[in-house]
Amino acid sequence: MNCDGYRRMLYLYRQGELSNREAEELVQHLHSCESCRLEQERIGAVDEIVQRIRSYTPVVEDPRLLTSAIMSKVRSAQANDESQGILDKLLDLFALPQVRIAASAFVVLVTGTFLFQYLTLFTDIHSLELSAGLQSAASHKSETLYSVESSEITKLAQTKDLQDLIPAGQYKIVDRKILVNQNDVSSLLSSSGLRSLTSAIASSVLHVDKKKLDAIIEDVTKNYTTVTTFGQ
Amino acid sequence: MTDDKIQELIGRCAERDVLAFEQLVRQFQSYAFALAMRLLCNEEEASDAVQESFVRVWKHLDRYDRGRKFTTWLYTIVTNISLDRLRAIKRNRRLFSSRDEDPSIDDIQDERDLHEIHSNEELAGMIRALTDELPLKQRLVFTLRDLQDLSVEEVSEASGMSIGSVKTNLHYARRRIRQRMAEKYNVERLES
Ligand SMILES: [Zn+2]
Repeated sequence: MNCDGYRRMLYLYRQGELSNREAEELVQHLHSCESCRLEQERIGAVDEIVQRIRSYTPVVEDPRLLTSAIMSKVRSAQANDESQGILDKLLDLFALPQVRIAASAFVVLVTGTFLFQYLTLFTDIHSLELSAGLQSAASHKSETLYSVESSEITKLAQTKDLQDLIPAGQYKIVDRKILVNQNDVSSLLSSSGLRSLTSAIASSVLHVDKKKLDAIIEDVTKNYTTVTTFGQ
Repeated sequence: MTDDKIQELIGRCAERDVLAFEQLVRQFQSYAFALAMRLLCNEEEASDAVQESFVRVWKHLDRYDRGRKFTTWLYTIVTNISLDRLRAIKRNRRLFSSRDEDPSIDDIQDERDLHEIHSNEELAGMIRALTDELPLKQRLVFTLRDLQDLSVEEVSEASGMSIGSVKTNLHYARRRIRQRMAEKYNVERLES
Protein backbone atom coordinates (compact mmCIF):
# COMPACT_ATOMS: atom_id res chain seq x y z
CA MET A 1 0.00 0.00 0.00
CA ASN A 2 1.20 3.52 -0.70
CA CYS A 3 1.17 6.50 1.66
CA ASP A 4 -2.25 7.65 0.43
CA GLY A 5 -3.79 4.42 1.64
CA TYR A 6 -2.09 4.75 5.02
CA ARG A 7 -3.18 8.38 5.28
CA ARG A 8 -6.78 7.26 4.97
CA MET A 9 -6.16 4.73 7.72
CA LEU A 10 -4.58 7.41 9.89
CA TYR A 11 -7.90 9.19 10.02
CA LEU A 12 -9.66 6.09 11.29
CA TYR A 13 -7.74 6.18 14.53
CA ARG A 14 -10.39 5.44 17.13
CA GLN A 15 -11.14 2.05 18.66
CA GLY A 16 -13.02 -0.22 16.31
CA GLU A 17 -12.47 1.78 13.16
CA LEU A 18 -9.62 -0.32 11.80
CA SER A 19 -9.30 -4.07 11.91
CA ASN A 20 -6.42 -5.45 13.99
CA ARG A 21 -4.63 -6.37 10.84
CA GLU A 22 -4.99 -2.90 9.33
CA ALA A 23 -3.81 -1.36 12.59
CA GLU A 24 -0.72 -3.58 12.62
CA GLU A 25 0.11 -2.71 9.04
CA LEU A 26 -0.26 0.96 9.83
CA VAL A 27 2.08 0.74 12.82
CA GLN A 28 4.62 -1.02 10.64
CA HIS A 29 4.40 1.69 8.04
CA LEU A 30 4.69 4.51 10.58
CA HIS A 31 7.99 3.05 11.80
CA SER A 32 9.43 3.56 8.36
CA CYS A 33 7.66 6.70 7.08
CA GLU A 34 8.37 10.07 8.64
CA SER A 35 5.87 12.03 6.61
CA CYS A 36 2.99 9.80 7.71
CA ARG A 37 4.22 10.11 11.32
CA LEU A 38 4.06 13.88 11.00
CA GLU A 39 0.53 13.66 9.67
CA GLN A 40 -0.39 11.44 12.61
CA GLU A 41 0.83 14.08 15.05
CA ARG A 42 -1.22 16.77 13.36
CA ILE A 43 -4.30 14.61 13.50
CA GLY A 44 -3.63 13.94 17.16
CA ALA A 45 -3.58 17.66 17.94
CA VAL A 46 -6.94 18.19 16.27
CA ASP A 47 -8.38 15.16 17.99
CA GLU A 48 -7.50 16.66 21.35
CA ILE A 49 -9.71 19.61 20.53
CA VAL A 50 -12.47 17.32 19.36
CA GLN A 51 -12.16 15.38 22.61
CA ARG A 52 -12.63 18.57 24.57
CA ILE A 53 -15.76 19.33 22.61
CA ARG A 54 -16.99 15.80 23.15
CA SER A 55 -16.40 15.97 26.89
CA TYR A 56 -18.85 18.83 27.24
CA THR A 57 -22.33 17.32 27.36
CA PRO A 58 -25.09 19.71 26.33
CA VAL A 59 -27.18 20.56 29.38
CA VAL A 60 -30.95 20.51 29.45
CA GLU A 61 -31.61 23.77 31.23
CA ASP A 62 -34.90 22.79 32.81
CA PRO A 63 -35.43 19.01 32.63
CA ARG A 64 -38.87 19.16 34.26
CA LEU A 65 -40.05 21.70 31.75
CA LEU A 66 -38.80 19.58 28.88
CA THR A 67 -40.49 16.46 30.27
CA SER A 68 -43.76 18.25 30.71
CA ALA A 69 -43.56 19.76 27.23
CA ILE A 70 -42.97 16.30 25.79
CA MET A 71 -45.71 14.69 27.84
CA SER A 72 -48.28 17.31 27.00
CA LYS A 73 -47.61 16.70 23.30
CA VAL A 74 -47.77 12.96 23.82
CA ARG A 75 -51.03 13.21 25.73
CA SER A 76 -52.65 15.37 23.13
CA ALA A 77 -51.42 13.09 20.34
CA GLN A 78 -52.90 10.18 22.25
CA ALA A 79 -56.21 11.93 22.90
CA ASN A 80 -56.41 13.01 19.28
CA ASP A 81 -55.87 9.49 18.03
CA GLU A 82 -58.48 8.04 20.33
CA SER A 83 -61.09 10.72 19.98
CA GLN A 84 -60.53 10.72 16.24
CA GLY A 85 -61.22 7.00 16.17
CA ILE A 86 -64.35 7.38 18.24
CA LEU A 87 -65.48 10.41 16.35
CA ASP A 88 -64.99 8.78 12.97
CA LYS A 89 -67.12 5.87 14.06
CA LEU A 90 -69.75 8.18 15.49
CA LEU A 91 -69.90 10.14 12.31
CA ASP A 92 -70.26 6.92 10.35
CA LEU A 93 -73.03 5.91 12.68
CA PHE A 94 -74.66 9.26 12.32
CA ALA A 95 -74.54 8.98 8.56
CA LEU A 96 -76.82 5.96 8.61
CA PRO A 97 -80.22 7.04 7.26
CA GLN A 98 -82.14 5.46 10.11
CA VAL A 99 -80.10 7.26 12.67
CA ARG A 100 -80.19 10.51 10.77
CA ILE A 101 -83.97 10.46 10.78
CA ALA A 102 -83.77 10.69 14.51
CA ALA A 103 -81.69 13.72 13.71
CA SER A 104 -80.02 14.26 17.01
CA ALA A 105 -79.53 11.02 18.73
CA PHE A 106 -75.93 10.48 19.48
CA VAL A 107 -74.21 7.70 21.23
CA VAL A 108 -70.77 8.19 22.53
CA LEU A 109 -69.07 5.08 23.65
CA VAL A 110 -66.22 4.97 26.03
CA THR A 111 -64.35 2.05 27.42
CA GLY A 112 -62.51 2.18 30.68
CA THR A 113 -59.47 0.13 31.52
CA PHE A 114 -61.51 -2.78 32.79
CA LEU A 115 -64.89 -1.22 32.90
CA PHE A 116 -66.91 -1.07 29.87
CA GLN A 117 -69.45 1.60 29.73
CA TYR A 118 -71.90 3.34 27.53
CA LEU A 119 -71.86 7.03 27.64
CA THR A 120 -75.11 8.07 26.17
CA LEU A 121 -75.58 11.52 24.91
CA PHE A 122 -79.12 12.36 23.98
CA THR A 123 -79.39 15.59 22.19
CA ASP A 124 -82.34 17.70 21.41
CA ILE A 125 -84.89 15.38 22.89
CA HIS A 126 -87.63 17.68 21.80
CA SER A 127 -87.13 17.12 18.08
CA LEU A 128 -86.25 13.52 18.73
CA GLU A 129 -89.61 13.01 20.35
CA LEU A 130 -91.39 14.95 17.67
CA SER A 131 -89.82 12.83 15.00
CA ALA A 132 -90.88 9.77 16.92
CA GLY A 133 -94.42 11.14 16.93
CA LEU A 134 -94.54 11.63 20.68
CA GLN A 135 -96.78 14.16 22.37
CA SER A 136 -95.04 14.27 25.70
CA ALA A 137 -92.19 16.44 24.56
CA ALA A 138 -93.04 19.37 26.80
CA SER A 139 -92.64 17.38 29.95
CA HIS A 140 -89.05 16.49 29.06
CA LYS A 141 -87.59 19.40 27.30
CA SER A 142 -86.66 21.55 30.24
CA GLU A 143 -85.00 18.59 31.89
CA THR A 144 -81.84 16.71 31.16
CA LEU A 145 -80.61 16.92 27.66
CA TYR A 146 -77.26 15.46 28.25
CA SER A 147 -77.32 12.31 30.22
CA VAL A 148 -74.31 10.30 31.15
CA GLU A 149 -74.37 7.09 33.06
CA SER A 150 -71.03 5.93 34.23
CA SER A 151 -68.93 6.08 37.34
CA GLU A 152 -65.92 6.77 35.14
CA ILE A 153 -67.71 9.72 33.66
CA THR A 154 -68.65 10.99 37.08
CA LYS A 155 -65.00 10.98 37.95
CA LEU A 156 -64.40 12.73 34.70
CA ALA A 157 -66.74 15.50 35.73
CA GLN A 158 -64.28 16.43 38.41
CA THR A 159 -61.40 16.65 36.01
CA LYS A 160 -60.24 19.91 34.66
CA ASP A 161 -60.89 19.09 31.04
CA LEU A 162 -64.60 18.75 31.50
CA GLN A 163 -64.81 21.72 33.82
CA ASP A 164 -63.15 23.81 31.16
CA LEU A 165 -65.68 22.64 28.67
CA ILE A 166 -68.74 23.04 30.82
CA PRO A 167 -68.29 25.79 33.38
CA ALA A 168 -69.20 24.86 36.95
CA GLY A 169 -72.78 25.63 37.80
CA GLN A 170 -73.99 24.70 34.34
CA TYR A 171 -74.04 21.04 35.16
CA LYS A 172 -74.79 18.94 38.18
CA ILE A 173 -74.16 15.36 39.03
CA VAL A 174 -77.16 13.34 40.17
CA ASP A 175 -77.10 9.57 40.57
CA ARG A 176 -73.98 9.13 38.51
CA LYS A 177 -75.49 11.24 35.76
CA ILE A 178 -74.15 14.50 34.52
CA LEU A 179 -77.02 16.84 33.94
CA VAL A 180 -76.52 19.77 31.64
CA ASN A 181 -78.99 22.59 31.04
CA GLN A 182 -80.65 22.79 27.71
CA ASN A 183 -79.22 26.23 27.05
CA ASP A 184 -75.68 25.11 27.76
CA VAL A 185 -75.90 21.95 25.81
CA SER A 186 -76.23 23.72 22.49
CA SER A 187 -72.58 24.67 22.50
CA LEU A 188 -71.69 21.07 23.20
CA LEU A 189 -73.59 20.01 20.16
CA SER A 190 -71.54 21.98 17.72
CA SER A 191 -69.04 19.66 16.19
CA SER A 192 -66.09 21.41 17.81
CA GLY A 193 -67.78 21.14 21.20
CA LEU A 194 -68.40 17.48 20.68
CA ARG A 195 -64.89 17.04 19.45
CA SER A 196 -63.42 18.57 22.57
CA LEU A 197 -65.78 16.65 24.79
CA THR A 198 -64.83 13.40 23.14
CA SER A 199 -61.20 14.32 23.30
CA ALA A 200 -61.52 15.23 26.99
CA ILE A 201 -63.15 11.91 27.70
CA ALA A 202 -60.62 10.00 25.68
CA SER A 203 -57.67 11.70 27.33
CA SER A 204 -59.10 11.07 30.76
CA VAL A 205 -60.02 7.48 30.22
CA LEU A 206 -56.96 6.79 28.09
CA HIS A 207 -57.62 3.18 27.33
CA VAL A 208 -59.86 2.56 24.41
CA ASP A 209 -60.12 -1.01 23.36
CA LYS A 210 -60.70 -0.75 19.65
CA LYS A 211 -62.17 -4.23 19.25
CA LYS A 212 -64.69 -3.75 21.99
CA LEU A 213 -65.56 -0.38 20.60
CA ASP A 214 -66.20 -1.90 17.19
CA ALA A 215 -68.42 -4.52 18.80
CA ILE A 216 -70.48 -1.89 20.56
CA ILE A 217 -70.78 0.24 17.48
CA GLU A 218 -72.07 -2.75 15.64
CA ASP A 219 -74.47 -3.53 18.43
CA VAL A 220 -75.77 0.00 18.53
CA THR A 221 -76.05 0.17 14.79
CA LYS A 222 -78.22 -2.93 14.74
CA ASN A 223 -80.32 -1.79 17.65
CA TYR A 224 -80.57 1.84 16.78
CA THR A 225 -84.30 1.83 17.45
CA THR A 226 -83.65 1.70 21.15
CA VAL A 227 -81.90 4.97 20.71
CA THR A 228 -84.44 6.66 18.53
CA THR A 229 -87.41 5.65 20.64
CA PHE A 230 -86.02 7.16 23.79
CA GLY A 231 -88.67 9.10 25.62
CA GLN A 232 -91.53 6.71 25.09
CA MET B 1 -31.70 2.11 34.61
CA THR B 2 -31.18 -1.57 33.80
CA ASP B 3 -32.03 -3.03 30.40
CA ASP B 4 -34.71 -5.16 32.04
CA LYS B 5 -36.31 -2.11 33.58
CA ILE B 6 -36.20 -0.30 30.23
CA GLN B 7 -37.81 -3.27 28.47
CA GLU B 8 -40.46 -3.48 31.17
CA LEU B 9 -41.29 0.20 30.71
CA ILE B 10 -41.42 -0.21 26.95
CA GLY B 11 -43.80 -3.13 27.40
CA ARG B 12 -46.10 -0.92 29.46
CA CYS B 13 -45.80 1.89 26.94
CA ALA B 14 -46.88 -0.52 24.21
CA GLU B 15 -50.06 -0.93 26.24
CA ARG B 16 -50.41 2.84 26.11
CA ASP B 17 -49.32 3.46 29.69
CA VAL B 18 -48.57 7.17 29.66
CA LEU B 19 -46.96 7.18 33.09
CA ALA B 20 -44.50 4.50 32.04
CA PHE B 21 -43.68 6.60 29.01
CA GLU B 22 -43.04 9.58 31.23
CA GLN B 23 -40.41 7.55 33.10
CA LEU B 24 -38.82 6.64 29.80
CA VAL B 25 -38.80 10.29 28.77
CA ARG B 26 -37.16 11.35 32.03
CA GLN B 27 -34.54 8.69 31.59
CA PHE B 28 -33.61 9.46 28.00
CA GLN B 29 -34.48 13.07 27.27
CA SER B 30 -31.02 14.33 28.14
CA TYR B 31 -29.38 11.83 25.75
CA ALA B 32 -31.78 12.86 23.05
CA PHE B 33 -31.19 16.52 23.77
CA ALA B 34 -27.42 16.13 23.70
CA LEU B 35 -27.56 14.57 20.25
CA ALA B 36 -30.08 17.09 18.88
CA MET B 37 -28.05 19.97 20.30
CA ARG B 38 -24.82 18.69 18.80
CA LEU B 39 -26.49 18.31 15.43
CA LEU B 40 -28.56 21.49 15.42
CA CYS B 41 -26.34 23.77 17.53
CA ASN B 42 -29.34 25.68 18.78
CA GLU B 43 -31.13 25.12 22.10
CA GLU B 44 -34.60 25.96 20.92
CA GLU B 45 -34.35 23.84 17.79
CA ALA B 46 -32.88 21.00 19.81
CA SER B 47 -35.65 21.15 22.39
CA ASP B 48 -38.29 21.12 19.66
CA ALA B 49 -36.58 18.22 17.94
CA VAL B 50 -36.53 16.24 21.20
CA GLN B 51 -40.24 16.84 21.76
CA GLU B 52 -41.04 15.79 18.23
CA SER B 53 -38.83 12.73 18.61
CA PHE B 54 -40.56 11.46 21.72
CA VAL B 55 -43.99 11.98 20.18
CA ARG B 56 -42.78 9.86 17.26
CA VAL B 57 -41.42 7.23 19.66
CA TRP B 58 -44.80 7.10 21.37
CA LYS B 59 -46.71 6.84 18.12
CA HIS B 60 -44.46 4.28 16.48
CA LEU B 61 -43.54 2.15 19.45
CA ASP B 62 -44.95 -0.85 17.61
CA ARG B 63 -42.14 -0.46 15.06
CA TYR B 64 -39.45 -0.75 17.72
CA ASP B 65 -37.58 -4.03 17.41
CA ARG B 66 -37.14 -5.21 21.00
CA GLY B 67 -34.02 -7.10 19.98
CA ARG B 68 -32.22 -3.80 19.45
CA LYS B 69 -31.03 -1.33 22.02
CA PHE B 70 -33.68 1.27 22.75
CA THR B 71 -31.16 4.10 22.63
CA THR B 72 -30.09 3.13 19.11
CA TRP B 73 -33.68 3.37 17.95
CA LEU B 74 -34.13 6.65 19.78
CA TYR B 75 -30.95 8.00 18.17
CA THR B 76 -32.25 7.03 14.75
CA ILE B 77 -35.40 9.03 15.31
CA VAL B 78 -33.63 12.04 16.82
CA THR B 79 -31.15 11.96 13.95
CA ASN B 80 -33.84 11.89 11.27
CA ILE B 81 -35.83 14.69 12.85
CA SER B 82 -32.73 16.81 13.47
CA LEU B 83 -31.56 16.31 9.89
CA ASP B 84 -34.91 17.45 8.53
CA ARG B 85 -34.64 20.55 10.66
CA LEU B 86 -31.05 21.11 9.68
CA ARG B 87 -31.97 20.99 6.02
CA ALA B 88 -34.80 23.46 6.60
CA ILE B 89 -32.49 25.78 8.52
CA LYS B 90 -29.91 25.64 5.76
CA ARG B 91 -32.55 26.32 3.13
CA ASN B 92 -33.89 29.30 5.03
CA ARG B 93 -30.44 30.65 5.66
CA ARG B 94 -29.68 30.49 1.95
CA LEU B 95 -32.91 32.26 1.18
CA PHE B 96 -33.05 34.90 3.84
CA SER B 97 -29.68 35.86 5.16
CA SER B 98 -26.35 36.99 3.97
CA ARG B 99 -23.28 34.87 3.90
CA ASP B 100 -21.76 36.98 6.72
CA GLU B 101 -24.13 35.65 9.33
CA ASP B 102 -23.06 32.10 8.80
CA PRO B 103 -20.86 30.81 11.56
CA SER B 104 -17.43 29.79 10.47
CA ILE B 105 -14.09 28.88 11.87
CA ASP B 106 -13.36 32.60 12.02
CA ASP B 107 -15.85 32.85 14.88
CA ILE B 108 -13.33 31.20 17.10
CA GLN B 109 -11.63 34.32 18.33
CA ASP B 110 -8.39 32.94 19.63
CA GLU B 111 -6.70 29.74 20.52
CA ARG B 112 -8.00 29.88 24.08
CA ASP B 113 -11.46 29.24 22.68
CA LEU B 114 -10.25 25.88 21.57
CA HIS B 115 -9.67 24.75 25.12
CA GLU B 116 -12.60 25.27 27.43
CA ILE B 117 -16.32 25.01 26.88
CA HIS B 118 -18.63 26.30 29.59
CA SER B 119 -22.07 26.49 28.06
CA ASN B 120 -24.37 25.11 25.41
CA GLU B 121 -23.84 28.31 23.47
CA GLU B 122 -20.07 28.01 23.44
CA LEU B 123 -20.43 24.41 22.43
CA ALA B 124 -22.77 25.33 19.60
CA GLY B 125 -20.31 27.93 18.35
CA MET B 126 -17.45 25.45 18.41
CA ILE B 127 -19.34 22.71 16.63
CA ARG B 128 -20.70 25.07 14.03
CA ALA B 129 -17.26 26.43 13.40
CA LEU B 130 -15.86 22.96 12.86
CA THR B 131 -18.69 21.31 10.97
CA ASP B 132 -20.76 23.94 9.23
CA GLU B 133 -18.90 23.68 5.97
CA LEU B 134 -19.03 19.91 5.85
CA PRO B 135 -21.46 18.15 3.55
CA LEU B 136 -24.42 16.88 5.56
CA LYS B 137 -23.36 13.22 5.57
CA GLN B 138 -19.88 14.01 6.81
CA ARG B 139 -21.26 16.34 9.45
CA LEU B 140 -23.71 13.70 10.59
CA VAL B 141 -21.17 10.92 10.83
CA PHE B 142 -18.64 13.13 12.59
CA THR B 143 -21.23 14.33 15.09
CA LEU B 144 -22.58 10.87 15.86
CA ARG B 145 -19.17 9.27 16.15
CA ASP B 146 -16.81 11.91 17.50
CA LEU B 147 -19.14 14.13 19.49
CA GLN B 148 -21.93 11.80 20.59
CA ASP B 149 -19.42 8.96 20.91
CA LEU B 150 -21.49 6.22 19.27
CA SER B 151 -19.76 3.11 17.96
CA VAL B 152 -19.29 2.77 14.21
CA GLU B 153 -22.08 0.18 14.17
CA GLU B 154 -24.42 2.49 16.06
CA VAL B 155 -23.59 5.34 13.70
CA SER B 156 -24.41 3.06 10.82
CA GLU B 157 -27.80 2.15 12.32
CA ALA B 158 -28.73 5.68 13.34
CA SER B 159 -27.75 7.20 10.00
CA GLY B 160 -28.92 4.36 7.79
CA MET B 161 -25.51 4.33 6.10
CA SER B 162 -23.37 1.26 5.55
CA ILE B 163 -20.33 0.70 7.78
CA GLY B 164 -18.08 1.36 4.80
CA SER B 165 -19.83 4.60 3.98
CA VAL B 166 -19.67 5.67 7.64
CA LYS B 167 -15.90 5.14 7.66
CA THR B 168 -15.36 6.93 4.37
CA ASN B 169 -17.39 9.94 5.47
CA LEU B 170 -15.69 9.93 8.85
CA HIS B 171 -12.30 10.01 7.20
CA TYR B 172 -13.28 12.90 4.93
CA ALA B 173 -14.89 14.83 7.77
CA ARG B 174 -11.89 14.51 10.06
CA ARG B 175 -9.49 15.35 7.30
CA ARG B 176 -11.44 18.43 6.29
CA ILE B 177 -11.66 19.60 9.89
CA ARG B 178 -7.94 19.07 10.40
CA GLN B 179 -7.13 21.05 7.28
CA ARG B 180 -9.35 23.94 8.35
CA MET B 181 -7.84 24.03 11.82
CA ALA B 182 -4.35 23.90 10.43
CA GLU B 183 -5.01 26.73 7.99
CA LYS B 184 -6.40 28.88 10.73
CA TYR B 185 -4.22 28.12 13.73
CA ASN B 186 -1.29 25.93 12.93
CA VAL B 187 -3.08 23.70 15.32
CA GLU B 188 -0.46 21.02 15.17
CA ARG B 189 1.78 23.21 17.31
CA LEU B 190 -0.76 23.52 20.11
CA GLU B 191 0.30 22.05 23.38
CA SER B 192 -2.05 19.51 24.80
ZN1 LIG C 1 3.71 7.07 4.53
